[in-house]
Amino acid sequence: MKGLTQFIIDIRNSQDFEQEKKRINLEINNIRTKFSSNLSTYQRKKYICKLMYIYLSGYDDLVDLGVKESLSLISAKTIQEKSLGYLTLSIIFTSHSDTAHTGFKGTNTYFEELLGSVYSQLSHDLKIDNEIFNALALQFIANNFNLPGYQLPETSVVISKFLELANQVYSFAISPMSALLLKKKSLVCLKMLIQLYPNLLVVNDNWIPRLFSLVDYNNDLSIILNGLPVAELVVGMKPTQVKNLVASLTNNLEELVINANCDESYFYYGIPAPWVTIRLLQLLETCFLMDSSLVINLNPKDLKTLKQVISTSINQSTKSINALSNKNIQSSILFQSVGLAIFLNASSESILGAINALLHLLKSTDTNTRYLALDVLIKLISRSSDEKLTQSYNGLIFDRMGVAEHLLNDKDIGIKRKTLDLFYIITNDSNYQVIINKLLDYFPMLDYQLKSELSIKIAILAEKFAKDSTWYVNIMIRLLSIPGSSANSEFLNNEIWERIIQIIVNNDELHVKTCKLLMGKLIRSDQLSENLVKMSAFLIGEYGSLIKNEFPPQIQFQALYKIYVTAGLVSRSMILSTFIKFCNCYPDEDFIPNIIDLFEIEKDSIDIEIQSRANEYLNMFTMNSKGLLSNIIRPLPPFETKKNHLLSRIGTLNHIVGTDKSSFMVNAAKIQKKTTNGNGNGNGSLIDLGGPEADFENPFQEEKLVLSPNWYNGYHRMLHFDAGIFYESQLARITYKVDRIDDFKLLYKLQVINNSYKSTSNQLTSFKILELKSNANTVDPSYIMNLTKTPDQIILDKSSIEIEVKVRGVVDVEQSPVLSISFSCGGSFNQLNLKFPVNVLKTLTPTTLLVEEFKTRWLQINQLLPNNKGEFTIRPNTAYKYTASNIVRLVQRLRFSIVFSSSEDDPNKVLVLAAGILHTQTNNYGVLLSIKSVGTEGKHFEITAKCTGEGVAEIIAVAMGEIFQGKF
Amino acid sequence: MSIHYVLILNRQGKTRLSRWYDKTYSRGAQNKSITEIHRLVSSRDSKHQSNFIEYQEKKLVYRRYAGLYFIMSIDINDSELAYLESLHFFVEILDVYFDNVCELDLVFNFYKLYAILDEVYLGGEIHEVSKSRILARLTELDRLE
Repeated sequence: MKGLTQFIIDIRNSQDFEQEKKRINLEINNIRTKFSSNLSTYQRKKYICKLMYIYLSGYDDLVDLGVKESLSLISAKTIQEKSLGYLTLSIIFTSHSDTAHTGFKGTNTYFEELLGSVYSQLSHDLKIDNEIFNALALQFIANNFNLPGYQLPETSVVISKFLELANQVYSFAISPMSALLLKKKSLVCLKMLIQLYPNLLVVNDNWIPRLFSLVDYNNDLSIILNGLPVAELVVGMKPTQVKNLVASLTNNLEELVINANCDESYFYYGIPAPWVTIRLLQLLETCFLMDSSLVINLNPKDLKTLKQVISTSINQSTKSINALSNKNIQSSILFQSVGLAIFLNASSESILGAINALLHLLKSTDTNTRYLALDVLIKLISRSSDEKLTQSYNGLIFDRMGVAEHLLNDKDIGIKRKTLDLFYIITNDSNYQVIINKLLDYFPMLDYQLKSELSIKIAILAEKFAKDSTWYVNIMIRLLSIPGSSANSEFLNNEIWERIIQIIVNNDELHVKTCKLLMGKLIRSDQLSENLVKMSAFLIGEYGSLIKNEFPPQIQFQALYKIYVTAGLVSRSMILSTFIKFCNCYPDEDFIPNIIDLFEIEKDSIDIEIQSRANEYLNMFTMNSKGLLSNIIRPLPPFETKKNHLLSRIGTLNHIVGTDKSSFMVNAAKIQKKTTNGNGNGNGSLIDLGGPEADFENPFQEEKLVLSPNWYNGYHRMLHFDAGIFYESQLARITYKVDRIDDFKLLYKLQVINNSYKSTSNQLTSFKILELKSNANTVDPSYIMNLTKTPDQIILDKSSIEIEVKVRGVVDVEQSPVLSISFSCGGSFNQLNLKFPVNVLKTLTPTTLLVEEFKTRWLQINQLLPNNKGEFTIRPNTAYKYTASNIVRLVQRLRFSIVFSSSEDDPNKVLVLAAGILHTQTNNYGVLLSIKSVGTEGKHFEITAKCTGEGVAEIIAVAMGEIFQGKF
Repeated sequence: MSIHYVLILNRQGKTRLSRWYDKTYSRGAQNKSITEIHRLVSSRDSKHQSNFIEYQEKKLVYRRYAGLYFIMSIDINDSELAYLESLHFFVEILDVYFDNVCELDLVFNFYKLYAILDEVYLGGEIHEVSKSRILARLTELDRLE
């Protein structure tokens, strides 16, 4: 395009900015006129390109010029025009919020407008049988549908269009027929789409296992690479899915890192697919951060493999290094691995070793290395969950603080910031005084940009660790006095002195102490920092009367009056408030007329705040006939703010640390406790800072699993048999055996047998446990499950699953858990959701009773639990005919002992009495059971259960009823 | 964790490429950031300062090649070195494609530059890391045009 080239040359030849701007404005006018006339495709292309160049040069007042033309280029038939159209649109079409990058104003309309105008073409290009067009449409979605923080509302006018596109994209990702190119592009799109509308995963509950299966090792590496971000997103929204992902992540890492098993074109300077490895390690890290019990529940084989992966990558990184590229990518794998090591229960020696090595790296001459070593150190320490170990890590770093200290003088401000973060994080009960003093010493030398962050860190640390309130107040006064005479102390946030005041107000013990200290400073020094003036003005106004023996009101007034002239505007208005408080407190003092004079003068102040305060106070004072002042000016009630706002301003540290570091929540409890002893008016607990807020809102909590067909047979069998077949299909058979470890601990052993192997010699691949969902209450659950053995991913013949169940209380039938598994076999994808009973009857043991004893207890229960709270009767109709001996066998199978059984001779009058003891971790219950026939067919029964626990009889009777009757 | 935007700026601060994956930035915010980022990056001393800068609660990873800065914005806790190296990978692709790439190649073929970028990074993710596959795809696209 000659015209375009010439235009670019013209601009490049411009002598100055003015000339360039002139040339561009000329062109913009030209383009405007051209666009309003009829254009050939070539011309349209040319002008669009020129326009794009102008946009690229930073001209932002064009108001969407060219959108219409880009849209018409998209519908062109040739690839060049179409791709140009999509490209221009993605550059021109932006959200409109003019308030910089703050609120999301405009995002909503951005997306709806975009989708509205481009939908029909996108849909067309996705459906057409043309791979290049498909790819262009997918690329457009991937590059333009990313709006962090925005979600498409369900009521949006474009929702149906959106859902149609989403389904289209999903089928590209998942279909075995689609080309690799489209598959990998559609995965990126899916990430955007799910982010925009998380409901996609709720509506399509079969998506998750299918998407997860795309990161299994048997996929092409590019599919895995692009599937990982989607998996990460899914896990972030649905943390329970974490365990379903770990096996395949581990498997991938094993192949890439340990076996170096990877397509040749994916080697980068001799390293197999390093970016895939890093992505895998990152996602694992996310999994561990999200599920703190993951390492305990991790399959021992996987744990071993992961440890091996980490030691391999650490070893490899120490190999001799020739190319810089090689080194960078190796180190990035190393740093990523070290960050993960802490989660794998690595021995404390190896972590101490790693810390030593990292401390050594801090001396490196390469800036990037120093920077990253600090980064990893911070991660390592902040993630260690073991308090004792953390102490020893902190100790180690503290001992060698000199190494870190010289980094405070580094030339890179990023390194200084990280060093401060490191100091912050290693502060603990034993070293806080040294560290805080060091940080205060260093403060004046620090770069201006970092001062605010450091002051916040100091304030938080002091509050968190202070054991002595005098020390705390002294440190805070020292912090607030740092800017010295500078009235322009913006970098000390107002939040700091406000927070300190909150604490002082809420702690009576500090009132006198702080006021005395501040008065001392006011008298001695002519120039105080603004922050100290504000603090003094407030506290002396509030509590000055408490120190009037030592500092008479006259002295207090003089001190503040003297400073008024030089103080900043905010401080001045605060001092005015202090003075009106004085008027109320000491109406007869000699200085009152001075105050009134001051109000008189200041009511003409040019500052509106000072003016209005002066005016109001003056009026209040002159009208003070009926005790007006004393009614308005009251002692300050304690603050109710529980949250320390400083924490939100700590900078970027929280991002690194992860989501769950409760230790970062500041706790002022120690300071506060002293007060409660001292005053007894109960104000003390008000700075009680709550624990960390729930950091996860799970939108999927209420989701219900749909059980697979035929689940009930196995479930029912398991109710009364301890071994048998749990599930069977043409592909797989699952057998079960229930073992009792002790009275209330059960072990469910499941054996998965590959049924298809004999007939078609197919393997079951990607075999995974998607979920083991307990339906017990989350608070005080009646049982706790633990997956002690996970199945192999590939099953040739058979593989086993073991689930340990600890019964804590009486388990209702409704609370039975669901096991979800998925596997592929010969190209088909299968998911099974199977419920299995953690039955109340599973933890029963027999107890021998004579008939007489049975009768006595039978009556005793009614006395013990009157109003039938101890008994329950149910009348099931059975499908088969039961005789007394059938019933005896059944009841014995459940491990009741038989007390009485009617004879076989009289099939019409069946009566079986049985007894047992029900065990749970919290309680044992005696159970009595009576089963008698109703009518003569042997198909109708009356079952009565009695139990020493209130309400338990009903659960037992219902369970018995289900065994007899079934719900087929 | 993903890339928020990719920029190529020259030493004078002229934009050679800007791809904003995070679409919540308005154009005004984009241009403002570009000016600030250029000021930050160009004032740094490559010998004594790292290739990483914290900026707007995110992290910039950048590298200078002759007169051009290749810059990327990533999450604070993402892997800086991996992206730094990935920028190098991208430059290697450009170098092969344009046969010894220089700034003028990028100036006059700016729309092509985007097509190449889209094969390496897509929607803020590292999209393809096989050099031979990317180059084959680019040849294929050229053939079709």
